[in-house]
Amino acid sequence: MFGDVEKLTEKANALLSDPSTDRNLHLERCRGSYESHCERFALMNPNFCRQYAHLYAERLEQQRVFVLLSAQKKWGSRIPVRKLSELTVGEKCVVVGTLFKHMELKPNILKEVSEEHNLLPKPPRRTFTDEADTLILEDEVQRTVLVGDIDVLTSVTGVIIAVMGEEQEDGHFRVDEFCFSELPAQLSRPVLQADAYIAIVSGLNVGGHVDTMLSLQLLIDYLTGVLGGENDQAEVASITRLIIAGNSLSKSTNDSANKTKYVTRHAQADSVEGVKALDDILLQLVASMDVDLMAGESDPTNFMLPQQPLHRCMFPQAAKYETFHNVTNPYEADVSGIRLLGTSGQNVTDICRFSGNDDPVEVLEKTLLWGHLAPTAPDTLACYPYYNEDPFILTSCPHIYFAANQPSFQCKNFEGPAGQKVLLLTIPRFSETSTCVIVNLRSLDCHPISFEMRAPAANGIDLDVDK
Amino acid sequence: MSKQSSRPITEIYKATRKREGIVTKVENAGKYEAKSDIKAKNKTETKPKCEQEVAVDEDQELELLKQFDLDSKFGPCIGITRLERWERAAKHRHIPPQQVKDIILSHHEDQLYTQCLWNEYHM
Repeated sequence: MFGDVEKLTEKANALLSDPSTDRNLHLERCRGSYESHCERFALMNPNFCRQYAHLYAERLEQQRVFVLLSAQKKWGSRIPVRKLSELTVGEKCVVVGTLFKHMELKPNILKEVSEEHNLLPKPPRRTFTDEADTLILEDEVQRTVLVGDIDVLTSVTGVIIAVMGEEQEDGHFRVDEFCFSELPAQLSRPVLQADAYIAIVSGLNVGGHVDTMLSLQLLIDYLTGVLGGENDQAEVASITRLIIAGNSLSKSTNDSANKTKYVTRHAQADSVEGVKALDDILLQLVASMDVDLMAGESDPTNFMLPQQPLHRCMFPQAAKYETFHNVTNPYEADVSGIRLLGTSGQNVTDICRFSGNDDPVEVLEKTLLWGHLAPTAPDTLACYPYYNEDPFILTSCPHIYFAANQPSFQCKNFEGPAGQKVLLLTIPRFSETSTCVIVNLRSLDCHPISFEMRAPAANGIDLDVDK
Repeated sequence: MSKQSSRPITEIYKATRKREGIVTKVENAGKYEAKSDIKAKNKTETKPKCEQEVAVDEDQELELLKQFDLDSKFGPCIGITRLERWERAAKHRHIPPQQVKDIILSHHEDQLYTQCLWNEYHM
């Protein structure tokens, strides 16, 4: 619909024509049903006097059941399931535990402190993988080194895995095969009568020193139906919702302790300016459609996952509208019956940093297969110390699964072992690519829309029109 | 401390469990007799039995709770209350002993029963 060539030429002709004489053209935005499922990510009465052992124990307990089911399906019930303490040398068995990847180059506070006197500034690394990394399997009381047919480079810490193999004489466990939790069942997708779309954008980075206001204003004008001819407006009216998936404020607005703030009398903090600008942007959007605002890595909310919604008092103008929703960072909701699950990208970025996976869509697929949104939490990704639950475990399979703030737009149709069909999406940063993503809820197609301002070729012509 | 002349150090710093309301050991050095009074006061909540029997029951209960804490089947114990750990074990169908829950609930205001063994060590 959006990308049809004939329609595009038709649209172009309509744009360059005289204004329509039909004054009674009244377009109304369609609103689908909405149900939020973010309750498990809300932190009520947070208590930080706990260690993370509870979170790992809980994760193992919950996922062990499903991993064992998956193991039985794959290898049958003849091969016995053993705990690590019950292993005997040479016996082929199945063991379930948490994977731990021992990485030499992983930033370690103990190493930093012990080497304090001889600290050389280390260059910032993009990934911390190394040839000498080893995989270790842990259960409640013991751990053992894994060798054999398992790929160390693409594995990450925190995944619950079932390995089949045997213990060797040197104490290591030789892996023949392995498997993960099976992907949970997916609710059947409702059949929608008409095309309904949602728009997802991320990485607005307002308040920074990079000027993206023109592209941003174009995006707002497009989504509120101010841009384009009647045909465009009719199409935009079927966009039911906008999701702003994190990093709405630029990292430079995070007032760092090193910067001397308020040196001059009338200087305002960057963050205040940034939030005011964001409020103005949101006001234009919420007046016209439902907007879900997620927090991201550079936004003023708690740093650890799950990030809590940005506070309403920061957006005095936009918060007055009932179409304004501030939501948690892993975000899960039913839009027109379609289950949507997504994050602001910290989980995917962290996995890419600590493993050899560098394709964000592949990482999304892997997290689905591992059955966990953010397995590296709490090891390298900051996370709240839960004791009674692990809300990042996937309990139902979504229809749309996205990770925002990635370098580029990518999409993939993933098919699960039990016929689950998931649309995997990576949403690019708007401040770098000026691109937002439109998803068709009826057919689960998606395409990007770019508002990039291409500067003309630098051939010395001055574009200053006021001259 | 060197001022306390003839009494052995084990009488001055007698090993007792720290309970709420008891002053610290150093300050108590002069008030040695007061400790048994405080202990007796805390016991008036239970049924009137002779003091020795009550002490034995209490020790057995605390021993049971300590074994519950140390049983690795129910998961880590530090940082959560015993009741929370019991509920979590029940949720995962590890069948924690009902007696443990009864003991905790009957002494629900006493930190010695509700909190785990390592509670005072601030980990």
